Formats: sequence, structure tokens, C-alpha cells
Amino acid sequence: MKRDNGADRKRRRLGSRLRLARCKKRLPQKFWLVAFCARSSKGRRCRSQSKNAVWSRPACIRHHGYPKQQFRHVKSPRVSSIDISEDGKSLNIFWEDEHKSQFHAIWLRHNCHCPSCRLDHNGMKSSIAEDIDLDIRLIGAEIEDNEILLLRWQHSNGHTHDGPIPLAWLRIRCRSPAAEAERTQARAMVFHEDKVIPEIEYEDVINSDLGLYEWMCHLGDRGICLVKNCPLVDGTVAKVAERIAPLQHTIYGETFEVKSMPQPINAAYSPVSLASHMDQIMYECAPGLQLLHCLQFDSYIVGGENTFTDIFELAHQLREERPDYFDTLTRVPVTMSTIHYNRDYPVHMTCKRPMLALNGNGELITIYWHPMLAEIDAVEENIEPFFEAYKHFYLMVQNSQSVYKLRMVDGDMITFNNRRVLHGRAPYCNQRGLRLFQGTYLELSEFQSRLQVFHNLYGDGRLASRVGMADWQ
Amino acid sequence: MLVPILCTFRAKLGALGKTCCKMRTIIFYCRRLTPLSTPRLYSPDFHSSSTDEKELKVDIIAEVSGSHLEGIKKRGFYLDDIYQHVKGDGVKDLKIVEDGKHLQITWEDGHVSRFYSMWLRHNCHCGVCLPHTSTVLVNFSKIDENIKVTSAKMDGDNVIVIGWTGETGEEKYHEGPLLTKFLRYHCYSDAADKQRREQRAMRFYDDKTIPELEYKDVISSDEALYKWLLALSERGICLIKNVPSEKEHVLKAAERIAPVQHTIYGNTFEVETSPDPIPENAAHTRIGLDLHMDQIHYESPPGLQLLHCVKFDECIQGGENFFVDMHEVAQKFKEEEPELFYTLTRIPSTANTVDYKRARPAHVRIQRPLITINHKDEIVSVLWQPMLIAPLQVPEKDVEAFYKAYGKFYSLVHTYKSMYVHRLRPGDMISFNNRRISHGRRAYTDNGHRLLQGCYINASEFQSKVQMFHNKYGGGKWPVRNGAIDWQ
Repeated sequence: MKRDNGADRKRRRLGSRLRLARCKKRLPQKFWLVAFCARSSKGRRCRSQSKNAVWSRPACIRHHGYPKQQFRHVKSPRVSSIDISEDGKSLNIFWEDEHKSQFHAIWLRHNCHCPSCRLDHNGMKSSIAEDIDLDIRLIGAEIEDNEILLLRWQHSNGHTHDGPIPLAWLRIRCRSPAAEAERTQARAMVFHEDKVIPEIEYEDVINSDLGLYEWMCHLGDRGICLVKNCPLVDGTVAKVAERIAPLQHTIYGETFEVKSMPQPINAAYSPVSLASHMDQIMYECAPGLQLLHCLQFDSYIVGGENTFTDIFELAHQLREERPDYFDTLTRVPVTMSTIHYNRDYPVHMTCKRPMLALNGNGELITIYWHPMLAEIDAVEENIEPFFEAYKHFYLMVQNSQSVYKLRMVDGDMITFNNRRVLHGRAPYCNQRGLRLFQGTYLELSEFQSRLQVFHNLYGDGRLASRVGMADWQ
Repeated sequence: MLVPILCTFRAKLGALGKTCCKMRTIIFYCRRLTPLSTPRLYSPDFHSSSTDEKELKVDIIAEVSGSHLEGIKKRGFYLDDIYQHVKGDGVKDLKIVEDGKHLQITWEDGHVSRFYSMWLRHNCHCGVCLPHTSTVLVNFSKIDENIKVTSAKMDGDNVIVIGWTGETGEEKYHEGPLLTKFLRYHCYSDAADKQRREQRAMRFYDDKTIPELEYKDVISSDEALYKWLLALSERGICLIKNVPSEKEHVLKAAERIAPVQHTIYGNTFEVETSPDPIPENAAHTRIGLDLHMDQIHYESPPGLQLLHCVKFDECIQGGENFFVDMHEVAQKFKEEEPELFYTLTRIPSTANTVDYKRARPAHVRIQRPLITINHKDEIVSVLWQPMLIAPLQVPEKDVEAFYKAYGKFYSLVHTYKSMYVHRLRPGDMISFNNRRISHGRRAYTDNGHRLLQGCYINASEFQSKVQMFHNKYGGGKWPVRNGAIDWQ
């Protein structure tokens, strides 16, 4: 097959014996229908395999949507040695930096990167049930040019399969205790004793990717950042938010205004104080980032300051001080609801789940906290212990002194992670003057995606730390 | 009509402050004067005072005009749409039991509810605790966690007035009304809970005929819209026929339910064969697609999916769609292979879309179990997209166990005979619950044009609409679970 020039796809040059090929252009189309739809393992080898080699090598390998930007931060993908265990069920890789990895044969087979196993569409798989053979064994392994691991498996029915996997790809997926500890540490939220809100200029966020990255790093790290000197123009909050991702729509619209009004549909639209809370936790996926742009906040209005509390920090504290209360809150589900028919867009949204959620390793991954929306409909046997735990935590949240405080001025835009940092507001007198904010939300999946991309493009390729999603990573 | 508010100012602001300090209570009317009944005497502080010189305390108490029931109605808390369906809320007997810890209500139909004192206090419907719609303003820091119910009496047929006494905590006594309708609706006894769960449980049908509706009916009438919602809620799939061929109709139909859910493929997306040899998604080719749910890499994957067939030439061979109810399969899996089933609820799998070549690069990843059960061992969510499954990231000891369970479930899905099958025709719009029904497509030939336009609706928004329509048109029943990660 002819070598592809790769100019349009910036692929890395591989060794002389491996050829890049635009398989789809070279092979008849029916091959691809057969390759992807056939249920026989025999039809799954690439056509170009040489019969003279120790085993057939696939003629093409692509990074299948895993771009080199992901790999450039991977340290030491060079390998000292590899060996297959006696029973063929696992492969050990010894890296040059003395790290050791072990991979299971089934897992390797499931992640084979050959074109018949991995579609060329952002890494999507086309593997089928037959590949998941619990008695599969590895019978051959070879390193190609220090970049690719070539493997041969034997299924329990005697058929063999050959396929490549990039070494750098394997390194970042190593599951050894050392790698696991590193990953856990990278993902863990970091808490800061000083509660000073980081600041950034509007111009930097809007005009430069590095400014955008700095902003997102603050949001990922502390969960809060103040964007200063925003123009006092309607729609600025949407413009800033869209630097990260398209807006997250909620029952309050694409953007919403926070100001005091008669017959408010929400307590926020009145001058009362608001206890610390997260917005709209009745959604399966509650709003992620929240941006609030201060369009007007007359200086003679008394009150109306905002406070922000890192509830993950408090929950970790609760876990240390009262593990029994912590356990109750992770176990007993409660309903969060917004039921309101008498509005332009009637709503009857409810969602029931525990307020604190853990992953499989017992790490706290997500919290839902909005005392004003909680129905507390636990069943009888749980209700007393629940209220005891709930009240204790409620008091911790209300009385916490380690909070961010802010009185916004015209042109400020406070941006925070609604799923990590609670916001509250002191009451204010709205007899004279206007306090008007415009706000919007962004989904956490989108934010985390963007942050991870930027860590790979502009940063050191680290894993994005947890942001409070219901995600077990 | 607005709520008159009772405010107390203690502002130290010079002349204005002095005047305010003299007047302990100032009553404001937002729009027109309304005669006051006995004002509430208690005014809990909502916020601890700041040590700032300009100390301001604003206590707002919503006034009740007339009886308790009228006051609750005026503040918008008598939820007609829901309560019209609540039956058997006549109270036969009220009893304070366990030294004030519980209030026991015997209803006219024999049902017995027991409410915990703190639960009742948390749901007090007085103007202080519930001055605004949708939000509870009870301040826990003032309330004794061992608060006792010390009095309970009927005020007419619809309201119970309860008195609570606390020993510790700032609030020593509080009195407030609760609606009998509210209490009956929210009863959390085992019997009431069981009844709710029975209504919420999904039902599976042997007959796999896709229900059909006309587009013009769905667009123009609430009755047809409700039929559509019912089909989507109870079966998870519905075909809308005779949709005009212009492209914006999929949006128009979707917005009858809720605003569309945006994803990395935009607000709407097109499914057709791409000239690019490496398109961004496998769907933009002619290959067959195995059963899957879309975009499970999102924390809240798309709820409803609508696909409008704009063009599908008759001469094309293949391209039929097939659909399998994943909850049905998961239920069968639970019955036949319980150990493997629970493995899939315990060991998480990762889903991702990593594509740096797009106009806006995406690196969306999430890890969670494929099947989620609630505290009552009921299946609430099944996520299925083998093509987006990222490499398993679990401890070594779990790898084999996972693959054993996954392989078995995979086989079950792929050999499941009971499926909906349909070849779309131009003018068809297939709508289905992407969190319940997985969809697939057969490969098709290159001799014509096949173009579908699609969009998604958020699962929470969909469920909200169904619940509302049940209350408006459907006798107030609870909506069937829709596959969202919700433990109800």
C-alpha cells in the first residue's frame, strides 16, 4: 500500500515496516461492510498481513482519534522488557523509569487498536461479543519502534487475532497501585485555607486562550473566580460563558435576571436572605458552572453581599468528625423538587437520590445541597437518623466561617462551580436603588471536557480534578 | 394580587435609622391595601448578623389574610393541579403519639399515616416558613432536633394546625398549618410508598408494534400531545407520521415537550453519509450500527431522541432501524443471572468521546456503573453504548469479573428477539426514550440518499412535562420511571 503523506492529519511517522494507509480508499467498500458486520473472527484480519512474519502484522495503525497532544506529556513510554505470564492471562511491561504495569489479556483484546476492532471515528469500538472470551490467552508480544506493542491472542476456539496498541496509550492507562495512587491524587479536589477569590480581567478571558485557560484553572482548582471589568451590557454573561461551552438551558431560560420583583417565582427574586445552596438540584444534571454578572448594584443599597462556601471541604470535615452522619447522608435518598404550575413554563420536576454520593472506592464525588428544595421523604425507619445528620450538616454549613465573601460592584462577574461552591446572600433593602444581576449556567461535562483539552493543549497534560459530577473517576 | 409584607428595620442610618428604630413594625403593601388578620408574632432571623457598623436586620413575615386555608391559597401553596386528584384526605382521627415524636393520622379510607415531628416542622405551611412559591425557608439552626408536637387540631376540613415545642434551640414554640391534601399526598408510610412504586414501575409489552400519531395533531392539540407523552413514557417509543419535509419540523415537534437539549453535535444534528473518509461519528457512514444509546459520556445523557426522516430513497437496500428495550433486557438479566447483574451495578465502566480534530475539541469522559439500582433494589438506569466504552479502569481483581458480566449482558442484548423494527419513510419521525430504548441500524447501500435530522430533549424536562400532563389530564398518577438516575 502506498504511504500516505499525512499532511492533513499531522500523523506521526512510523517505522518503515508499518505503513499508514487510507484503507477505506484502497479497499473495496464491501470489505468494510464485511469487516464491520461480519460475525466471524476469520474475517477480521487486515488484508495486508504478511505470512512470512512470526505473526502477521497489521498494515495500518492509526491513533484513532487519540492525538499526539494526549501523549506528549506521557513520561517514559520507552520499555525495558515485556513478558507474558505462564497462563497467558496477563502481560507485564517493565518501563525504563522502573515503573511496572500489568495488563489482563481480556482487557488488552477489548482495547485492540486494529481497524476491525476500533472504528476510525474518535476511537469508537466495533468489538462484538465474541471478542469477550474469558479464556482468551496471549501468545505473542513484540515492540515495534518503541511506540507500538504488537500482540497476538488465541481465543478458546483456536482462532487467533493480531493487533497493535500504542505504548503511550497503555502507559496512561496503567492500573498498577503506583499509577492508581497518582491518578487518585491528580483527581482529588484541593482545598485552600485562604478564602481569597482569584481574579481575572474580562479582556484576557475573551481575547486569549491562555486567559481562558487561567480562568478555567481557577474554576477547576478552587471552584470560584471573579472576572473583573466586564462591560455593563446585556448579554455579556452569555458571551463569557460561551468561551467555554454553549449555555446550559434550565427552567429559568438560557440566561436569567436576579432582581427583586413582586410575586417572585423564586426566593432569589426577592430581597430576603438566601441560605447557602446550590441551584436547581432537581435536575438529573444540576447546573454546573454558574456565572453572575453584576449589571447594577447601587452603592447605597444596604446588604445584598454574597457568601460562597466550599461544601466539599465541609463534607470531608463531616466525614472525619462524624462518620456516622456522613454515612447516613450517603445512604438515605431524599427528593429535591420544584413544583410550580403558576408560571409561564409550568414545572413539576422531582429527583430523588442521596445528598452525598460516593464512588466505588468510597471517595466523595458529588453533593446535592439546597435546603429550600429538599422534601425529605425518607421512609420511616430512616427519617429520624436522617434529620439528625441533616441538621448537623446544615449547622456546619450555616456556621462555617471559612467562606468567600464578596460585595459585587458594577462590572464584576462572579463565576463559580455550582456543584461545589454554595452561594448565599444577605438580605437587602430594595426600597431605593437597584440590584440587578444577569446569570447563566454551563454543564459540568462540557466544562470538564474543555478543561481536559486545555490541560493537554496548553498545560502539562494532567488529569482534570473532580468537579463534583456524578462520575466515579 | 400581591402579598403584603411585614418588615422590621433596625438600620443604623442616621435620621432614617432613628425614625425606623422608633417604629418597631412597618407594614408595606406592594400594590393595594388588604385588611390584616392577627399578625404573626415570631420572626426568625434568616441570617446571623454581621459585625459591620451598618447593621441591618430585615425580617420578613408574610401575612395571612382570613383563615389558614385562604392564606395558603393566596401564597400559591394550594397546588390545585395536584391536589384535585388526592382522595381520601378526610381525617378520621388525629393522635399525638410517642410523647410528641410522631403525629398519627387515621384517614377516612382507613389508611394510617405517621409523621415525624421534625418532618412536620420542616413542612410547616405558615407564612413565615413558606412565604414564596417553591422554596422552603425553615431555618434549622434555630430548631431543636428533638422538637415535639404538642398540639394538633383541625381548622376546618382541610387544614391541621400543629404546635411544636422545643427545649434547646432558639425557637421554643412554633405554630403553623399543614394541608391535609399535602399530608396525604406526601405520606411516606410503607403502604403509600409501595403504591407509588407500583405506579412508577416500567411495564414491558410482548407486542412490539410502534404506536403511531399524526404530526399535525401533535403540533396543534394538547390531547394528542398527551397521547404522545404517554407512548413515550409507558413504552418508550412512538412514530409520528406525515411530517412535512422541511428541516425545522423536528425542532418544532420537540419544543412541544421542552426546549431541545444541546450536545457536542449541536442543537440539531443530521445523520447522512459524509463525504469525509473519517467523519466525526460512525453514524455518518453506511455501516451497520449495533444497539446503543446516544452520548452516554454526558452526566445527563440525552433523554428523548427525535429523528425526522427527511430523505430515504426507496432504491436503497438496508438502513432499517431496530430498537430494544434495555430495561426489559436488564430485568431479564437480573432474574436469570443475578450475580452477574449485581456485578454490573457495582463495577463501573467508563464512557468517553475524545476527539481533538473537531472544530471544538471534545474530551468528555465519565465513569459509573452501567446499571444503577436504587435503595429498593429496583433498576432505575441502564446505560448502553458499546462503541463509546473507554478502557476499563478498575482494580485488577475486578477486571475478569466485569468482563464476565459484561460479555454475558452483551450477548443477551444482541440475541434479544423482542425488538421494534421500522424502516423510516420520508415524513416519518421516530421518537424514543434514549435512556430506555437502545437503537441500531442495518448497513445500507450506496445507491441513493438517506438523510435524517434529529434532536434531543433533557430527561428531567421530559419527566416534568409528563407529570404535569398526568395532573392536568391523567387523573394525577405518578409517571413511569424514564431511565434517569433518580431513585424514585
